[in-house]
Amino acid sequence: MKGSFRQSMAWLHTWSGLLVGWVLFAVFLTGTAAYFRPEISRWMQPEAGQPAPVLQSAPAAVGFLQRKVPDAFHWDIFLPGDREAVTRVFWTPRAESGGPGRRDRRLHRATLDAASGEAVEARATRGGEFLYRFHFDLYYMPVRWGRWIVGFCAMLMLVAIISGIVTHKKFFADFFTLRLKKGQRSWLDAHAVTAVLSLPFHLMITYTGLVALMFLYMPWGVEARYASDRAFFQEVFSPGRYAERTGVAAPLADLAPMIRKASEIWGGGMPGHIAVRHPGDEGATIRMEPSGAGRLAPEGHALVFRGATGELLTEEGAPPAVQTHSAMIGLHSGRFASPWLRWLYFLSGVGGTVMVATGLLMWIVKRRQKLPDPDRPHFGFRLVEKLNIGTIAGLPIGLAAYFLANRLLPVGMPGRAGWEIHAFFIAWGAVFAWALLRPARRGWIEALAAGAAAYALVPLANAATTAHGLLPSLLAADWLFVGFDLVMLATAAGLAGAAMCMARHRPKVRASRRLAAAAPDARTLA
Amino acid sequence: MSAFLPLLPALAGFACLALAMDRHQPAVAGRVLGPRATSAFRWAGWTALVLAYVAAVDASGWVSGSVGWFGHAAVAATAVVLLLTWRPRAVLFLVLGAPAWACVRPARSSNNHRS
Repeated sequence: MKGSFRQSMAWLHTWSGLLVGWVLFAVFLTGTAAYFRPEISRWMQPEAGQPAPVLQSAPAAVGFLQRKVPDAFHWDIFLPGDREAVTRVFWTPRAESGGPGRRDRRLHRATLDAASGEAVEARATRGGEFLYRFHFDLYYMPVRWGRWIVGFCAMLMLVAIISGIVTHKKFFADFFTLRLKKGQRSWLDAHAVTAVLSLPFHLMITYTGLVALMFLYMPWGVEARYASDRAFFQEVFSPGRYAERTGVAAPLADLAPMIRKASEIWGGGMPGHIAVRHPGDEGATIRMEPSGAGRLAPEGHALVFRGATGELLTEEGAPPAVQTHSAMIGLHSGRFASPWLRWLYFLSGVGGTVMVATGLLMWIVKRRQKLPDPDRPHFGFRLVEKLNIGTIAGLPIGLAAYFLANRLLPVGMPGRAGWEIHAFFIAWGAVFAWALLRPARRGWIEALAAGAAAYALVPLANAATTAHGLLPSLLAADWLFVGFDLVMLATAAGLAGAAMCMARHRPKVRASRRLAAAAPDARTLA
Repeated sequence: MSAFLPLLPALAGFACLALAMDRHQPAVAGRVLGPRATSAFRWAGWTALVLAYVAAVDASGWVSGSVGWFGHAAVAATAVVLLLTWRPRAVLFLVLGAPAWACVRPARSSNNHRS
């Protein structure tokens, strides 16, 4: 009975994992990269300056908006903190005062230098934001579809994790075991080791990822009580008690004392978002939300000040449910993390990516031995093999193409930011096409080698087109650019190593295949 | 700078736990250890992991420390696995991580007091 339960769990693990594995690989890879979203954005806009303290960037942004749209209905200021170099501002003109909707925001926006508050003349790019959005929105489809697909895959991921734990016979006995050069055994070890050692991370990241979008996946509670999604989000996440416009002109008070006051209330935290309603009016209100830096659950601690006097009007309390939700998103996104903790997050994410990849490879390795005719595998086998090459080798190449396009596309090109993203998908698709045309083993070696070359090219393209090459950055102690180049080179080395391993082991695999053909029974039993 | 310090006891903890397994003892220590040594390594291993938690909370507070403990544990355990695979003897040296942390920590605290 116990054996059959474990067998059915093994079946569940195999097929739930295979069905969603390729999407999960993409989600894990881009999500892991997104732990460095602001850093990637800075690398992709080398024209932007350096981060600046909030006490400098906030008044600078207000200065810009006062010059540009003094009479607006609403300003939104997203402050950079110490990881970004630009402030993002959005405004709603009085004529469109239906409320700051997303559509308005896209029309009226500016990217400012954090320190000076001047509009930044930088190349158009979605930067790290694209990777972050792709990991739950996907691309080339309505956002809602993408989120449903990713949510479905995450749900099956949870199923695969639980059934995987049940299936794993020697959870503790094999805890530290990685046996090399043993074919299927080695892949199983690699899969188990990456899964087991970061198991708390995998469970946490999958569960909190689902929780982050729970209002989409399980909307019925909200639907039963609220007229619309919007009414719900307004009430729960930004209750914003703004005052009415009086029509009497009054300048905004100095921001600095309000920021200091807010920081005191938040125990040293700094605002990440400042919203100003009716700027320049006597009834102006300023709402500050704490940034996620250093704070696990930033949601729901907003403060509202009277704009004309700087007096604190409201201290919004966070209901426990909002705090819990916010803490789960904080745990998932790691925005609160110090740099070292962020690297630990990143490494755990790499572990998750490797776990998914080795799982996908296992499916092939396990079945290759049992093929009736290894030279003519059946359609399903070939399909999985090609999808594996296209995804596991192709997606990293797409990422390299995204970075290369950022450096090589002309700065003034129309639709530039979009073409960087197209480059990502074109390169990824090209690897798929290549995988279809080539025999599997050659396809793997060539795709991995191409990936190594692409990643090695990124630092070269960077050095050739910007003043932030590896050497100048080292001399200037600009660790962001140094770190980025080093990660690119390390990835190139990793892919080159994988390609060489694969090339070297080719004859051996042939031999074992022949062996399998000669004595199929022994193989199947083992 | 001190945020990575919990890695030292975490490495020691997993090194000891590996040494507490018959399967890995020959590769690391050269022979199978007796039951008393094995049990001592098991106790030392778990103690060092608790120590790693103390170190993590000490270095970055309750929230980041608790989250970070899992990250340190994952990285340390992976390091032990890789060493066991390619340089098993080196795992012995990781055991020194815990005393090393104990030596470094007071220096760091007194630095904090000074600054």
